[in-house]
Amino acid sequence: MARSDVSNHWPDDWPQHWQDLLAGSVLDDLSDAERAELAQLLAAHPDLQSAQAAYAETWAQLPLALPPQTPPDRLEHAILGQLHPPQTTSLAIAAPKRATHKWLWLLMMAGAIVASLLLGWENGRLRQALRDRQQALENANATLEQLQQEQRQNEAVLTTLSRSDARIYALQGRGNLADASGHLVVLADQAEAVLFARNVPPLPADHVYRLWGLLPSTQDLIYCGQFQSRRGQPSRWHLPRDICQEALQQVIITLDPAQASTATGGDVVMISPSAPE
Amino acid sequence: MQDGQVEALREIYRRYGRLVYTLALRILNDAGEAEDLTQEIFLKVWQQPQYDADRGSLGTFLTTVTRSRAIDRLRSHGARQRLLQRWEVIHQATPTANAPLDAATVSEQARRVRHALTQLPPAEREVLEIAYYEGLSQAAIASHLNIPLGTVKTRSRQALKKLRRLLKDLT
Repeated sequence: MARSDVSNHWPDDWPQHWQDLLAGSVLDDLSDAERAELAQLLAAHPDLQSAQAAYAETWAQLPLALPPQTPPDRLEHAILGQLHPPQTTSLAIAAPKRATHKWLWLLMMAGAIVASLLLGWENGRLRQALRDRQQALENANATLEQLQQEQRQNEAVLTTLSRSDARIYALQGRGNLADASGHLVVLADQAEAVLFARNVPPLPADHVYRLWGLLPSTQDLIYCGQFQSRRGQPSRWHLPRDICQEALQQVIITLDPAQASTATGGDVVMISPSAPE
Repeated sequence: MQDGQVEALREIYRRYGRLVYTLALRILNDAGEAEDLTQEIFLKVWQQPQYDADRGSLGTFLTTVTRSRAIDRLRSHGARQRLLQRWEVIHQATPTANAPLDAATVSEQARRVRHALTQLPPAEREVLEIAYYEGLSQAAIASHLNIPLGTVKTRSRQALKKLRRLLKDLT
């Protein structure tokens, strides 16, 4: 239905360019001054609003000139199917929501990727944490083993020192073993010597430590056996001569080639004071 | 929803669905997007009715809403430069009002509008169609066509006033 037409006859107090103002308002290109002028005009002449609406209708008719395009049949089913939620599961109805589903699919994929990355990162973090815990556990076990070994040594020392026939000599390092120290215990009834020492390193197979005793009566230095040092453990060896079990004025430990004669000693690496403790 | 309401929406769609889809396709230049927007328009109009019969026809309301939403989508999808590029392609491909049409499917109203457009000077029609289908500001149109902004404003207003005069008995 046609609206009332004022395009040819309009009130005398309307500005000459009122149609420009209406066209401009529909085209949304009014300047601020024109917008204010139109507002005043509409306020003063409410019947001008129908003319403005007519311009809007004309503007909205532009797409009627387009060559008509027929939408796919599934679109009608899709729209009406939206009114029946259970039917929206059919493939034919879901198809027109391609764009929406595409975005949903992309969002789901993005979410899955993010979740995978987060899970991967979390998994890596947990694996690293597990490795750290395992390393800490291994360190703790090693420490425990060391403490238990020290405890066994201490118990052995206590057992040895508690024997009444033990002779004990304090030893101090010399030369290459200046940092070494320890105690030599001679168990007379077993003809055995035990060395508890620190900083006495193990030797290569072709070298040995040798013990020498200074007899107080003759001031002779006699050979009292040889041994290898084992880190963290006391060294035990058999005393080759009974005289070694007697009270010695001083004991000396030398470093010697394994095949060297026992007639003389090598470099002195530990020595006791001149009288036993 | 009651069957009667479904039938009512079906009738509205069958009357205006082609117009809405045609406009959506013209602006968006993508069949899938046009389908999606057409579905959105009808469902939104149905579920959140904002149409006021006193302010114009339902067809006018639907084309106005469709144009607005389609241009919103265009703007959200790309830069204004993309709109200009699209315009160059579409403008060359769009048939003129003299292109052969299937008379059996064209309403009298559509025929009148097409005829009215042929009465416009090409320069005015060009400005009007860019403004309608591309949603460009007049400054952007002036830049694209390399003409003064005042010329764009004059041409578009003149074109709309002429259309209004030619189609006054339709509204």
